[in-house]
Amino acid sequence: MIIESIEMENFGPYYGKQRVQLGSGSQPLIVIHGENMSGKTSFLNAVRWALYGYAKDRSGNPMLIRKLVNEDAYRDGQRRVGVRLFLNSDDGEEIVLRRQMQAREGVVEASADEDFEEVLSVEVGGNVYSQSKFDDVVNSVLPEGISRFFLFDGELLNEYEELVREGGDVAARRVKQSIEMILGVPAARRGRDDAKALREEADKRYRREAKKDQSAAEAAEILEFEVADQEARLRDQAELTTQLERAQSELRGLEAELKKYDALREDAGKLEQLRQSQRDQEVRREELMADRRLHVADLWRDALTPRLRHELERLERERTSIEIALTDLAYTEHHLTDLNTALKDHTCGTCGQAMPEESMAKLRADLTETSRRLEAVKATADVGRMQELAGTIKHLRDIAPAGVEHAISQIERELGAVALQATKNGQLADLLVERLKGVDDVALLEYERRREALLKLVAKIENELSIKAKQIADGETSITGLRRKLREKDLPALRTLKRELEILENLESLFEAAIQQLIDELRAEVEKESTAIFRALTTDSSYSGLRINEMYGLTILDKDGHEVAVRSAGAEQIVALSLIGALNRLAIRKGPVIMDTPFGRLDTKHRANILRFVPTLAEQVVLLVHGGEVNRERDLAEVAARIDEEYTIEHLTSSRSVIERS
Amino acid sequence: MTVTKRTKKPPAVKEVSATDRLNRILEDLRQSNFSDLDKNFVAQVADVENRNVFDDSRVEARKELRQLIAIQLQSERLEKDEE
Repeated sequence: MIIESIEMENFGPYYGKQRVQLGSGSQPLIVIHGENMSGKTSFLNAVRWALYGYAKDRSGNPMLIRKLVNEDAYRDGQRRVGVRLFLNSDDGEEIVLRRQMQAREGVVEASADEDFEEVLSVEVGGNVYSQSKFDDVVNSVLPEGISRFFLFDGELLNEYEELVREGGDVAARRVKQSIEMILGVPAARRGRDDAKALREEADKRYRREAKKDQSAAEAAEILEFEVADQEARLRDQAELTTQLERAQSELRGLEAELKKYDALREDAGKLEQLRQSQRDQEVRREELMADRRLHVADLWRDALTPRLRHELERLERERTSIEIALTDLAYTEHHLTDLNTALKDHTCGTCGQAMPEESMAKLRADLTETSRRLEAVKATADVGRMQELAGTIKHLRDIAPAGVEHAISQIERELGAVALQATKNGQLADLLVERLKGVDDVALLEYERRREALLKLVAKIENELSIKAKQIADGETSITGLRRKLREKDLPALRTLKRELEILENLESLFEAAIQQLIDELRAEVEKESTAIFRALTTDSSYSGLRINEMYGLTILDKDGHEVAVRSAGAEQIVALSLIGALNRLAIRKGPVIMDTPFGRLDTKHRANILRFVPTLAEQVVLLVHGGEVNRERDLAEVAARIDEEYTIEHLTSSRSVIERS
Repeated sequence: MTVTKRTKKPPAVKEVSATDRLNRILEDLRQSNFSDLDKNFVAQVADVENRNVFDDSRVEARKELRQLIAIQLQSERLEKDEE
């Protein structure tokens, strides 16, 4: 089956009606280029929604219908969204599927899904069918259960990663189910179940007819009771299983909630530590500030040091000159006294001999000069000033440099570091406070109490189920025995019915035995096919192939056949694509593959390998790519001959995009 | 409607017939279990199951199976009568 074209009306960013021809089928590739947020995912969603009635948001959750309606269209009064798919089946039959949602009359502001009315229409080979046939037709062309392998988005990759884990979670089991469905395993399971259902019907008829025969009536009656009891036990078992599933589902929900609380509790612990650290930092900051204040009180001395030094030198110089003057004064006074004595006695003061007149004249001249010098020295030799200078110098010397400048800069550095840490801690604390907002301790306690109760309930139901399983097994043995006894009676009227039962029992056991064999065979085929694809796609020559597990998860093998434990996101994507390729090759239904941004995690070489591989994936492959992952000229040149159509999504405004032929 | 009829072209990839695979397995089991079921009858049942594999209601499938069983019983009866 291929999609001939798609017509979207007010779907997401596509305003009004936009029809896109998806090729004639002559070549498999259709490439739609579009930058992020332009409407690539909306295109994939349009196909998904048209077929199955739901679109997924980026987290994989179903989107509200109102969110699908183009904003501009809604404002313009076009309160509807619709998609029409023109399909061509493998038999060459034209199929037209149309899904439309229209805001109900009288609804002023359509917001909930209930505010919209659904209109479906289906045409096959030109014949119009009733709406009720819509799902049947969809099931016949592209059943929802296997759609994940045709409508390919990032979510599939995440789900695939779950598969690698043995005994994975619910999502992984769902993917496993889808894989088995696309491979056709349900045909064997349904064969067994159908045979069993028909056998039970025939068995009932047989008992009813046997009761009419006197020789078999009692045995048939006993069997009837036993079957009725068994049916009651099976009903109980089904009821218990439902209860168990419900309790387990609630438990899973609670565990998830409690896990969130665990993370919050961890946050609360972190916040407390942060608060303590903030308090310690505040104390340290106060200490540092006090230290700084202390040092700053002396800092002015460090600032005055150059001027003080200069002043001291000047004063020292002045004092020295006064000291010299005082010494000079004492000497001059003494010399003057000696001169006066010598002039008065006419004798030499040193040798005591009489002095001649010529020497006396020299002494008189010396006396005049010395007296004059004495007067000059007296002006300088100011004792008062010298005492004053001594006081000032002493005072100035007391004002010595404190040496606090270095200490203060160290304090400043530490204060800066403390402030930076405080800011960081403050931001982290704000974040934690925000996360912790709304934490309800009462609710937490209630969750824990409910979990305890549920654990007990689950254990109780499991116990009851195991008892019930034993009763059912015993009942089955008993019924088999009773049935054999009844069948041993030769009842001519029931010979055909007896044979019918034999045929159905045989069919049931044949199909039952076929299930595991089919699974084993298909799993081996998937491993073989995906290995072949993987080897063509991978650029790492040290990889020898893939190994499949029970969940259809694939692990990479090295040259020696050992599992490669660590693999990159790119390798993860190659493995996923190999699996998808293998499944599409082995699928019981073939369909178009639409891949949204499939090359995101890949390097150039892998991208080139995958682009070469993609056209072989299906009869029609629609690639929705952005410029960052596929370069039109460089990457598409090699596959140009396989491209049927190429489009570009033009992003006009935040609410309008158009798809145009490139 | 502007859709044009497409000429069916050979598939690009190897087709694997799920019916063939299931049939082969069932036939091997039938032989190894010495089942007295008719080979063609089992193959027809497998075909019904393969065709209706995506139909959850099982109404159509079981209707077809009932018909197959009725035909099988009738043919066995005819064989017996001939004997």
